[in-house]
This record gives sequence, structure tokens and C-alpha cells, in this order.
Amino acid sequence: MVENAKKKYEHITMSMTISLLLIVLFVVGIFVKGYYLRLLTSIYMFIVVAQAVNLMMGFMGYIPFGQAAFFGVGAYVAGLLMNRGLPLWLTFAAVVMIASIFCVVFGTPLLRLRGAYFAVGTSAFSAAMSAIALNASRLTGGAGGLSFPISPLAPEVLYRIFYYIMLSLLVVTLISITIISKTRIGYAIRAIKADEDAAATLGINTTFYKVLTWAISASFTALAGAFYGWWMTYIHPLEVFNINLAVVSIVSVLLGGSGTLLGPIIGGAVIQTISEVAWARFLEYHFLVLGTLIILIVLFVPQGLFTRFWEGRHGK
Amino acid sequence: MVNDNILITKNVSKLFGQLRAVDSVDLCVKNGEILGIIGPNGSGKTTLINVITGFLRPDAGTVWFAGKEITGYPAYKTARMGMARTFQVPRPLQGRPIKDTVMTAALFGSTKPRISSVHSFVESCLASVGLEKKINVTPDHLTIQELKKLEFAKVLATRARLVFLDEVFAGLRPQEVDDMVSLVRKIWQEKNITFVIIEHVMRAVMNLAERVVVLNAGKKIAQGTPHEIVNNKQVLEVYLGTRYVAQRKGWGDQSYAKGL
Repeated sequence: MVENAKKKYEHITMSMTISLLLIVLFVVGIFVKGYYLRLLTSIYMFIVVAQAVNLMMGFMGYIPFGQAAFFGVGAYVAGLLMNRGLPLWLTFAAVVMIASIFCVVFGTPLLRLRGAYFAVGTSAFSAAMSAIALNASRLTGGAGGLSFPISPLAPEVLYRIFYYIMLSLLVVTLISITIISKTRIGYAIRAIKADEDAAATLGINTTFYKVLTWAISASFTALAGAFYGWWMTYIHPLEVFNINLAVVSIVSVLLGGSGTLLGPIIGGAVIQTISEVAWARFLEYHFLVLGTLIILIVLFVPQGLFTRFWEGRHGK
Repeated sequence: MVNDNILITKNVSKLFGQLRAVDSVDLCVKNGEILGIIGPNGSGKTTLINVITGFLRPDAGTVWFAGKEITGYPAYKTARMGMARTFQVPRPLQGRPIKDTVMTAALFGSTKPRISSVHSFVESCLASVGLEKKINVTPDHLTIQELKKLEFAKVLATRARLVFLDEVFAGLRPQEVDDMVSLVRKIWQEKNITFVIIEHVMRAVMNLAERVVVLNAGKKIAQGTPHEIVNNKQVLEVYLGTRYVAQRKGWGDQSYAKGL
């Protein structure tokens, strides 16, 4: 009973912390300008991808090294459809649908792989998608990239709109993952993470839940990609299909604490800030900084910052 | 056939390369009984269960469950039809309260209840194995015996009609074995569950099973009441060697059942 009450208290403090943070960020959007507005927008975008990755690796135990594939697919689908003048809501519905279809078609065989094999398999999938985008130039514009329709709005206004779009996407992602973790899907994927064979003996159709979870994860990643393309108004295959996106997201999840809601938020924010500083100060050592960080995380906080400091303090 | 036997296998075989792990096994499990399956290490007991529950596909033969052919069904389907099994090494959800392990079993299993409606059912499953006080404890704080009881609670939560207990008594002290034996018997009496127990601990099998099937090198070599089995010459030869049996006729009856 005491433990229940304590858990409830912990839960309430955590939801309150996140809600408060989001309210502050909504207000901040009114005042921030220029560089910082764009920096925050991109941080939100990375956190969305990190949360999508977290759903796969933190909750289900599958590390999606090829998550960039969906970011790229989302960006390209959005670009192609918007250029043909499709209404926005239809464009983004199509982005979600096509990302999910990709998951069913490619995820069903890929999700038969486990552990490191899945990670390698998905990164190959991502590389293949990148090659297709580069070479199918009649559809995608190939190495020339793809431009989005330019909005008539002033950049000042437009960037503020994108700030709120990305923040809203982040809120939707967080709410969805919270809900998912409490439903049947949440129980199924935690059982899969613990022991896939044992999960099957409980009557869990593991293939179905794995593909479903990846489709949800891919949809959020693809939406982030779509909004990114719309925001940047120009995308290039090597940029949106960059495996680095998956790597940075995985590192963010690890740094923050996988399988938690707050972890990827902290991890994503920290990594993007460090990355930005490293990028600006010592461009050529940028990857050295990130690499060192990965080593430090694995050595000193393998369970993640959030798990270490938050749950450590509140007791297990 | 439908009413009498809950499970029938006919000529079921499973090959691992050249090895016939299960070799044309015919098995009948009567509705409501406790059937023991014994056999030396590597005799194919667990493989047989894996083939029946859908972990492995049989290379030959047919499996019927509750009057329906289920040969080659995947594990999740057999689970949904009402079969459940425990594992030799308990497999709970690590790092989460044991309530969650049982909850997952209750949510899937052979019915699909709503999450809000299963809390009291989960508690009753844990209570019937005597773990009601540990409901919020994580598995790493449980003893081996408690972990085995948790496996038990898990299969109860799936609302299975046929339960395979794969060496639930292994690794327990004699006192704990007796505990588990009475737990199995209690649950068998209270609920309409058929048990198949795969076991090395003879003390448990002899106490619980009404019928015993003996496997050796993938083949079924004997079946009968526990009393018949411990006096079966072929069984004794398999366990103790031909020379030993030739020397001591009728030995099994007195000490084998009690001692091992």
C-alpha cells in the first residue's frame, strides 16, 4: 500500500514536471527569436525521433539503427505530395500511411531478426532507401534534392509557426507513448523485451505487436521528417536518410535513460545542445566530441541520466 | 474422442539434424487428469512439449487439442486456445513488480479482458499460489521457489485448460517439493485444469500423477500407473542399467518411489 502511494506520488510529480516544462516551452515560443528559435525547434524534432526510437528500444528491446529511413520517407512523401498541391492534412495522413505500409512490408521480415542482427538489418534497409532516393531521380529529383513549395508568409512568422508545429508534434508523441505504455500494446511489448518466447506462450502474437509498434514509431519519425522538409523547404537524400540521425537518437535515449518518458527528452536536449556547441566551436572535432560522449555514457551512466538521478533519488 | 481426451498426439516426430529428439510418439492426455512424463536427460520430454505447444514444428505426426487439429500452430495460437506451460528456468518480467508479469498473462492468454477488469483476477491468481504479499515486489527479490510459484500464477492467469509443468520441482529442497506438490494438487482440485508434469523429481511425480509415460531417446517406452512404472523392467534398465536390474529384482517398489 505504501509502495502504491509512493509510486502514485512519483507518477504525479513526473507528469507535473513534464506538463510544466511544456507550458514553459509554449510561452517561451512567444519571446525567443532567430537562432534560438530554430535551435529549440530542431531540439523538439530530435526528441520526437528519440521518443520514437525509445518506443522500439526502451520498451520493446529492438534497436532501430535504420530509423532515418522513415525520416527520409516522411520528408520525401511530404515534399512530393505538397508539390502536387495536396491539402496539408491529406499530405500528413499519407505520410503516416506510407510509413506504416513500409513497416508492414519491410518490418515483417526484418523483425524476425533479433538483437544486433536487427540493428544491422535496419541500417542496411536505411542505406538502401537512401540509394533509391538518390537514384530514382525521375521521382525524387535524385542527387539534386527536392524543393518544397515556398510559403508566402514572412520568415519571422513562419519560423514561429514551425516552432509550435514541432512542439505540438512532441506533445502528441509524448501523450501517445504514455497511453501506449498503459494499454495492451504496452504490456505486450514489455513482455517481448523481457523474453520473446515466453511472451508467445502467454498468447501474445509477437510478430503483430512488433510490426504495429514499429509502425507507430515510424509514423512519428516520418512526421518529424515531413515537418523538417516543410520547414527547410529543401531536402537532399544524403541529409534526410543520414544514419547519423538514428545514431544520435539512440545515444540520446541511452544518455537520458531508455524505457522512460523523461529520459529521451533530457538526453535529446543535452545531445543537441552539446552537438550545436561542438559544431559551432570546433567543427572538425564535432564527431570526436560525440564519440567521446558515447564512451563516457557507457562507462559511467549505462542506465541513463534520468534513471540514475531521478529513480535513484525516489527509491526503487 | 472429444470429451475424453483433451490432447492427442499421433506419430509425432522432431528431428534435429540426424538426431530423432522425438520419435513417433503417441500420447493421450485425458480431460482432467494429471499425467506425468518422465525420462532420462535428453530423452525428448521438453522437445515433445515444445512441439505440442508450437515452439517447434513437428517433422511428422499430428496433434489434436480439444478435438481440433493444431499441428504446427504457433505458440501464441495454442496459448489462446487454452494451453499454457511453465519454463524450466522461470521467465518473469525483470525489473517490474510481479503483478505485471501475471497481468500480462491475464490480458492475453485464452481470453481478452479489459485492463481495468483484471486487477482483482490478477490478485486472486497470485493469492492462490501464496504470493499475495509480494504483489509489488520485483522478481529479483524472490526465492527460486517463489519464482516457480510465479510461473504457476502466470499459467493460471492465462485461464488455460491444459497446463504443462516443465520441471517445476527441479532445484527445490525436499520440504519445498512437498509444498509445491500440495499446491499443484490444491489447484488441480479447485479448478478444471488438466496437468502434464515433466519431471525428474520422482517424489513429486509419484505423488501427483495418476498415469506416467516414460520416454527414452525420443521414444515412448512405457506407460501406466506410477506403481506399474517403477516395477517396469525396461524403465529400470533405462534409469539404472541392465546389470543393476538383473541383480536386484523388484527393488523399485520399495525405495525408488520414495527415495529419489
